[in-house]
Amino acid sequence: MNTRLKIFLFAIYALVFLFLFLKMRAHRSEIKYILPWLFLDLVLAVITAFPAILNFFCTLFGIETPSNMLFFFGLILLSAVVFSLTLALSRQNAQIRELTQRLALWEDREREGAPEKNEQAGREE
Amino acid sequence: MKGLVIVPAYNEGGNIARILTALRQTAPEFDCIVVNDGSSDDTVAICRAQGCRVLTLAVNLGIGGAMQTGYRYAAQNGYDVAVQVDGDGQHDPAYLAAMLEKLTAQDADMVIGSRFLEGEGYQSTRLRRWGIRYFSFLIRLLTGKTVTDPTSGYRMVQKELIETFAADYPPDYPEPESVVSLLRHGRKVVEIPVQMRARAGGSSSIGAYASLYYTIKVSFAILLEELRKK
Repeated sequence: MNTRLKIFLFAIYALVFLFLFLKMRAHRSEIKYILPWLFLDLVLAVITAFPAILNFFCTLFGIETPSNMLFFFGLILLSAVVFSLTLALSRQNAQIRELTQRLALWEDREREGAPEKNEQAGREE
Repeated sequence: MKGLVIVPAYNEGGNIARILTALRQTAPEFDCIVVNDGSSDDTVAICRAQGCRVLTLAVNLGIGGAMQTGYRYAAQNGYDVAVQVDGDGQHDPAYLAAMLEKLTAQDADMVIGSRFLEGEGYQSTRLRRWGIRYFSFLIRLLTGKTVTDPTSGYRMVQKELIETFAADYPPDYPEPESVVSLLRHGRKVVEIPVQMRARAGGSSSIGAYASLYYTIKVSFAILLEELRKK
């Protein structure tokens, strides 16, 4: 990797870090969901700073240029972050479903009380 | 015996009055609950005017989430039998007595009203018939049991299954998936022949492009169900 690319990448990492930091400071996003992005940013910065790591993996996987390895690495980490969001989304869908159903049942009770036939059945028992 | 009819309805203002009237006339022994899946029309007002109880979902959950709400209501209020009658008018309440009879006589866990046992009444579009036949084949392949109309929403279940569905029901396109789940757990699913009507108004929740997605998604759901631990 030449120096020009390195400087360009570090500038991007720094900007991303600043952006994430500001978002967290403003409480506009939960730290829990920002952390994976911070981690991604830092890991990429570290392996850009120490290309020896990249060279090692390049030889291991048979990738010819270190910068390709870097982007590949970034893509893998990025996929992991996006997938964690899919999991969080599924969980929240289930939570919203449950809440909506409970609210509907609760509102009905408030409005109508227990069903009549149920009360009769209760008295018979 | 306490029976509950669960009517899932999403913007069925044009159909719902007719169904509720038919239910009151042909099946007065059943209680009725409409699950309003976040309608934006006058569905709720029409139901209340008819004296029918309505559960309103604050946000649209789709048929699975709506039916699960109905099953939760049934479980909370101690119903022995619950049956789904769609809000679009395709299920004729005249069959309810026969379904109940079948459920008790055969000691079944679920009775499905099938369009295809006798092949009378509205048979759906050709494309959908192929899809249903495919699901039927898939289910026979995986469970060894024959269900001629696994996509039918016209289904009656006994008390234990009300509890089961209240706790866990597939969120979207639930019909074939839940049938497979029941069969795998050794539940008895039987069918009776019914005639269905083409919907009188409104539009189906599954459009042309969605049919392909439906087929793929439900196939996955069925196969996954097979791979789950019992």
